[in-house]
Amino acid sequence: MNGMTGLVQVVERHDGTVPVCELKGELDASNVEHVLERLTSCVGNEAPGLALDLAATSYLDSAGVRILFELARRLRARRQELRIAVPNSGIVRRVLVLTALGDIVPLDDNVDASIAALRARV
Amino acid sequence: MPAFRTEAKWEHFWRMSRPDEPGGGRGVGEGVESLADDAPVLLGLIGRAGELRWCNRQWMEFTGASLRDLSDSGWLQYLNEDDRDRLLDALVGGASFEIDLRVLRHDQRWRWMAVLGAPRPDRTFVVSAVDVTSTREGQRALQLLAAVGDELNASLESDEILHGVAQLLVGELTDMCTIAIRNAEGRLHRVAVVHRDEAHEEELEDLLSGPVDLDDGSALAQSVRTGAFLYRPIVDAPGPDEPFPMPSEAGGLAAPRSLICAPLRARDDVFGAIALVSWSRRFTPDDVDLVHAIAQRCSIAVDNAALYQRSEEALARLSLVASLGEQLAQTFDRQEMVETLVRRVIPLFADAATLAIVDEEEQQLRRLAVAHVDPSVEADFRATIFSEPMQLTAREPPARAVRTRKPVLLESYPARRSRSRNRTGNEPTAALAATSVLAVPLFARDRVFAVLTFVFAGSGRQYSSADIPLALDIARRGALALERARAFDQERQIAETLQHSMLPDALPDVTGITLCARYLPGGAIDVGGDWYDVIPLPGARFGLAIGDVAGHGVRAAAVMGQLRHALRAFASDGNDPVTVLARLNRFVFEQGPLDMATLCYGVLDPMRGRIEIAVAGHVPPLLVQPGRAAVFVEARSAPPIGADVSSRYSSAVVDLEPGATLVFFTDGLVERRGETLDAGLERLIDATRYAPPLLDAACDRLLDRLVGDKHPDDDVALLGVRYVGTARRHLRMRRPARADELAPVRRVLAAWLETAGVEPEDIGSIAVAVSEAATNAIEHAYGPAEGWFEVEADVEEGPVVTVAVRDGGRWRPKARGGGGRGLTLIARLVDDFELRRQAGGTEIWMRRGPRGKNLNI
Repeated sequence: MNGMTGLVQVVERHDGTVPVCELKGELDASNVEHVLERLTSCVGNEAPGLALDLAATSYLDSAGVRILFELARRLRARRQELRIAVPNSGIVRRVLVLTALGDIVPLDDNVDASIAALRARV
Repeated sequence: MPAFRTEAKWEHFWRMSRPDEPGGGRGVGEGVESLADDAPVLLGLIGRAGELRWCNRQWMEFTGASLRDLSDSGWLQYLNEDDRDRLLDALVGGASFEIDLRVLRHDQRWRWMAVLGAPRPDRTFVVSAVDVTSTREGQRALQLLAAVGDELNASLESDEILHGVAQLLVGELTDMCTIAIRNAEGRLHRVAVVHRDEAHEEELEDLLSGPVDLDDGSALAQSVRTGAFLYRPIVDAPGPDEPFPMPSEAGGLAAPRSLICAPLRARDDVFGAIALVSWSRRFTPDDVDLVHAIAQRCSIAVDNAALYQRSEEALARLSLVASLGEQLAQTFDRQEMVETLVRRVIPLFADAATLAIVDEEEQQLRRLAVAHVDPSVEADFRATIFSEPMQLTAREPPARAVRTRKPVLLESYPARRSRSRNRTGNEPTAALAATSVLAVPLFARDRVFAVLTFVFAGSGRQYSSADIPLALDIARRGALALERARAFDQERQIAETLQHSMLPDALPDVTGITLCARYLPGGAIDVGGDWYDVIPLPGARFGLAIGDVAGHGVRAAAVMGQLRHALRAFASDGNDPVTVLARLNRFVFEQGPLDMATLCYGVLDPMRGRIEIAVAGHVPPLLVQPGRAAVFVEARSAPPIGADVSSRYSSAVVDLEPGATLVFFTDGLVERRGETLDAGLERLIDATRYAPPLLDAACDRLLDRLVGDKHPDDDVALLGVRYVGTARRHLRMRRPARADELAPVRRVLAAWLETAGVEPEDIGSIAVAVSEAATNAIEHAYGPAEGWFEVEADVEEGPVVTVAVRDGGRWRPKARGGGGRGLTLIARLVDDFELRRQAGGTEIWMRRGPRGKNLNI
């Protein structure tokens, strides 16, 4: 399933015990609710957390940031960790930093680093 | 029970011989003694302590000893040490017994005896013994032979077989076993050395490497040289019988030992020998028979293995030639071909190979490829001699093959009549460590253009005249492939040059549209024939064309050039697409029989956002509109240009929304072997999803997804046209206040900023800021009833971008707490920012110059 406009796609996989979600395309007010539910459902109770890969995300604004805060809050309540992999340069990284999401959620340069960090938690 | 029956039998015997003394206790009576002396068994009377009190004549004759020698404990000396205790234990036990043990016969040979003992009431034993050696040895020999047979059948590798046999013999017959066979050059090599004591294995391993000197005086060498079977029951002089750097604790070379050496022969040819040495026992004539039989079987098995190997090799060589042709056909790259050629013949047909081409001007050979089984030799060769040209006058085999136009065979290299005065380390063939060389010329149109040199080095193999046909066959296949590559290179170069000279250098700068073109030349054979064009037309309109000439190569590229120029001529009059296609078709037929071409031609009016499209056997362009599923333009299909002189064409008109993109392409983009065209078109639609906002990046993404890193089989041409929908300096959009309008607005804005020369970095920031403002309008400004929002943007020198986002409602903070974050983000992404509440609604105004702030993050 993706957003009705074909704007965003959530690709889910597992790296060992670590669930990994890749967000492809654009995340905005038209699809954030759907994406939030989708991401939440990817994380089972036994998982150490979620590695969210934004390398292929071409657009993300405050609507997206809001659901990432919410996702981090939900996972934390279950003693799970959200880690976000986002390339070091580009508008998405800039938005995450400007909105201080980076202060709450660890940002990694690539998804392998996120996965490794989550694995170390187990 | 046999023991009981035996006992009863003896009791009866004694009773008969001593009727007056039923229990018997002293000697044996006279009459009975003579009877006992004649009995065909060894008989004796032995006390509990193991002392012999009496024995019959048979016993004495068997051992060759007198009664005095044997009496008391003397008889025990004739028992094998390993068996003695078993017998003494049985005597002490006091019950009747039946034991097999070894007794030393008068001829110094150990014989296996079945010994029966029956106790008498006075606790002495009547003992009888029968020689069962022949039965027993026969059995053992049969078992051993069967085991050897199993070993021989277990493998077709002669070394493996012989090692297994040697291990078996050491387990059963001897302390040490060595097997040596001749290699292809006739040198004798040990292939198996096994010792009962594994501690010596390692020092014996060394023996495996070097050859055996046939004149070293060892039994092994002697046996191979003369074909004689050697049997030495006892050797106690020091000497190199075989091979024995004997462990010192065993007494070294001088230790007494027993030796058997049997030649291995097949079809009257002695090709090896088996040597057995024992320090712990003396070999018997029976052992000799056994080793003889085993050697015979080994000979047959090894000979079979060799025959099998030869037939396997013949098969492998055949398949080498077959697969070589196939492999060479897979590439058009000359270097790849010659590398394949020299690599593939190793190790089956050569230990090393080189390929060099003839430079007729310089009268030299230049090497293109070398391969050697030993990578370090290969590396040395590459580093030193590889790039040195060889004069055609040289005496080396490759140069001679070129001069004589015939194969040059040196069975043994360097030749025996060595020209050592000229020999230096720099000679190429010597540098490959060659022991045998075969060089064959490669012909193209009756000229020798290259030479392939096969070399044996290290493996001991030698070329013979029997190898020449295969070498020539390999050379012929290589020559054909290289000639094909050369012709292909030439044509491809011309086609590519033609092709590039005919594609537009740069796309025109068109107000209101963004253009992007990509062309990838096809892989192996398929270069040429695809083209695209953008033609300025009267009335500020543009002609857009993409086409594909049937066929490939120089001819297709040339036809493409003609068609392109004809199309330009017909189009630039401002004709509609249907007229242009019809004229072009007629033109092709007027020219005489020309190749067919598929073509899609459209006339775009950027002012009205309208395009009219006609197709001739070509897939129509894909229309991608923001927020909608991509569709192919519905233009009715007609035959390709040049297919039918009476073809009729029709056109479709599409009204473009701002931000709409048309993707024109040739079938190389979507066609894949073994797949329907529909599947390819589906993939194209898929690939346009989640495309980046900027057209350039979107085109790259399309190619990346559909073609990837691999060289496309066919040409790929792609022409992307995005309708921006407004004059260059000013953009204004009014959209329904719905979240699904955000993405289309961003697309249009991004495309417009791109044409206005704004840097991607700045476009990203502006797009987020504008989208945030629009989100605010959608989420805050209206109640349940639907409203609208408007984006108005201007670009000034710099470029400095100002954008105003307006709505028609009243600003109401929304229940959810995201709004504040949105405004914060806008403030940080642009240089200036203002929230203006007015009677008619709210306006968010912003401005950003190049490389706006916060770029350090």
